[in-house]
Amino acid sequence: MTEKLKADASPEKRLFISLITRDIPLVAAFLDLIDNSINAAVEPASHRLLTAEDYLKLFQDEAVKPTVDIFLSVSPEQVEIRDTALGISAKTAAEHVFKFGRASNEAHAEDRLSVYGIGLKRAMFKLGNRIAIHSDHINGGFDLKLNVAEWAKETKQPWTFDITPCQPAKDNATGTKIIVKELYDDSKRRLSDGIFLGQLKEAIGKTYAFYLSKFVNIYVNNEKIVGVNIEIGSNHASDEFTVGDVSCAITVGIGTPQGGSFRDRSSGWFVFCNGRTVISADKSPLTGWGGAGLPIFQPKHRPFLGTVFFVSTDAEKLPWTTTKAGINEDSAIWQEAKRHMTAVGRVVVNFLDGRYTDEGTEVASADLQDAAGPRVSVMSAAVAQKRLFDPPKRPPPQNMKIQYEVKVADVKRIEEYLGRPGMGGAEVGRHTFNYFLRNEVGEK
Amino acid sequence: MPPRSTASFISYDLRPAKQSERRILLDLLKIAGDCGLPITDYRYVGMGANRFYDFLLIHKYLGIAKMVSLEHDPVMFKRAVFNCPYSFIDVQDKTAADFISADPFTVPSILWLDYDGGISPRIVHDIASLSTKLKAGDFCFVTVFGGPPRALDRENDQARLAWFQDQLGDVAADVSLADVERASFPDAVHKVLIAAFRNAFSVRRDGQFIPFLQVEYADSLPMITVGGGFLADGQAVSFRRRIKGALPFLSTEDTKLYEIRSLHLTERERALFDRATTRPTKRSSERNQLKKLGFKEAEIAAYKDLIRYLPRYVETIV
Repeated sequence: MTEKLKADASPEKRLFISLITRDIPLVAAFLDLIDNSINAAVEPASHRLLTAEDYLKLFQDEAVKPTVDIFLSVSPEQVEIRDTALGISAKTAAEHVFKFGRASNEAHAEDRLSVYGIGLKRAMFKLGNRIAIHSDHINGGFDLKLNVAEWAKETKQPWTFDITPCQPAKDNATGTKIIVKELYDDSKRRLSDGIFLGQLKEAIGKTYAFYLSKFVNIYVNNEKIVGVNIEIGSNHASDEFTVGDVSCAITVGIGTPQGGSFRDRSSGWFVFCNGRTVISADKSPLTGWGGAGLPIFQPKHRPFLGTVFFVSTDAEKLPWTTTKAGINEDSAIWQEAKRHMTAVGRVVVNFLDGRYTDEGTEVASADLQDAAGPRVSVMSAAVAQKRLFDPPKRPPPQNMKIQYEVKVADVKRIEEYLGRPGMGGAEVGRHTFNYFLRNEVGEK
Repeated sequence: MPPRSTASFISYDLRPAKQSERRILLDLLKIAGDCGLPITDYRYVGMGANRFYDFLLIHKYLGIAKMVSLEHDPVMFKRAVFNCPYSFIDVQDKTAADFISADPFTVPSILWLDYDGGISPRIVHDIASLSTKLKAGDFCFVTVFGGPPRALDRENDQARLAWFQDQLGDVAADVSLADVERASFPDAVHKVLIAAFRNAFSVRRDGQFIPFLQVEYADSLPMITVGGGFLADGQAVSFRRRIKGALPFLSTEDTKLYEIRSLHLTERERALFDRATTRPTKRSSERNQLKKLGFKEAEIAAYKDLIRYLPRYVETIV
């Protein structure tokens, strides 16, 4: 009998860290940290967020106000994120939080933005070498101090982090604080490049517009971030479908002009998963532009605004990538959504294309706003009754062009006859047309 | 068509705040000399228009004798050549962009790009281009109009913000709706310039850009100057320390705009200010007298900051 050997297939920590941090942009890493805090903030209300209608109800409920604060402090020396959510118990920390990925039997029905069990670790590893976490929880929180370089050298299996349990939080003073020091050179340079903070604030405002209004206040270096809510004309088309645990609501219409014009950054497709923006203003083949469904996006399409709103209580079934900054194009639910997006979107695209004919622009920019109708929030539009876009009826044309070919010599003869040499073909044509109309047909 | 030079319709004879700014810049360059940089051997590149005030000061007080003046306006170019005070000033009929792209920057350089108009993508691109050319030890300052560009003058705040975001992209990502209100517009311009400098030089590994001059002033129109030195790490430490001692009102660490106030004082008032602000304590009869005359604490503090830089103008009959 042949002896069987065990080939070593264990992962190398160094390679593992490199793999999980390489493909995530720094802004997305910060959003991963915020996702964890928001997920914790939403936990007590997760039973109210089961369907797209639930999201709208909560969005429209004026009694619901943010109860959790998230403070981000960012400098080239250290990054700190602190929240006032429920905190993490020592038990949860020991059994779940630091596990790389979720076990197949591990389900958290209350999770909305926590998906793969990788974001927190990836974000910390992306930023720097020294990590400190302190969490206060009513059942007792924990402390963690981690030197990533030292940890990466250890070869013992299974992988663990040393955590120290803490006393139960007093007076409901719960929350979690993460500090990352000894930032890596790339992170340091990016954090001090003059544009990172602006990009981060903008990304937070766009990504968490829903959560910012109802669950959390987010501060970046003491500046409160305001959510960027998108509005759409009430004359819009919508569609919806459900596949398994995932529901999808699609809305397409005309956006709202800013500063008098329809802007590139506010047009195209916006995709949301459980209220979190995943892609913004997309005009690429990913969302059907320039592919089989929609034409290549052109400036005349700037009034186009489409939203796709996915909701599921099992966040892993949503079509987002692990960085939550993109779409898993091959997922069946996305492929299904894309077909619906194209079908609904075509009506608005056809209307916008029809604005430009050989005769010029037939619908003036101001008329577009009339065609769009009063503004409504995309959230309201996403869960409203299924409806169709009603393109405004065009009045029949009042004028037309006449073109025909004649001999140059004959045009010259008419010019000479009229005593106006050089008047040109168009003028000669207009003159002879008017002459015929007046003398042969008769004036009205 | 390039914009018309402001030198053709603005009299630059009496601009006390601008003159204070020039003197502050001279002091900063002297500090660079104290830190071991051979400032006398540097080349000065500016936009001298037809008065060449900055060129005159820089030659007289720093001894710099390699100078380039950029003048893109064809009418003003002839006048600039005619009015050029020193034969070693090379007046070039070029935009800043053309100069930056053509010049090899083999000589240590101080650039003061004193633009005629407001903030624009062109200026952000010039700063980005400069970051590929400047060597450690070089200096660059950019001055722009602090109000809304002409295209935005009559637009509302929302349209202004849209213009910033669409035209200037990521360097305007931190500009908010509140920043683009007319009263706070200089803050928006300041944010963009700081972001443009930081972003342009962030990839350089041979030094860091320290924006130690961040000032606003208004002789007639609001103007913003942001600039500093691209310094090797060792130079930066000593430079920061000396600036903190000599010009404590300037920030070398934070993004803080210092306002050069226009103080319109008589000679007698000025003498009183001189004495009051050089007393070791805040309580003095001169200070009390200034307050009785209606001067505010902020004006006294501003005078103290600028005591060495405020110009004196006298009328002479020739």
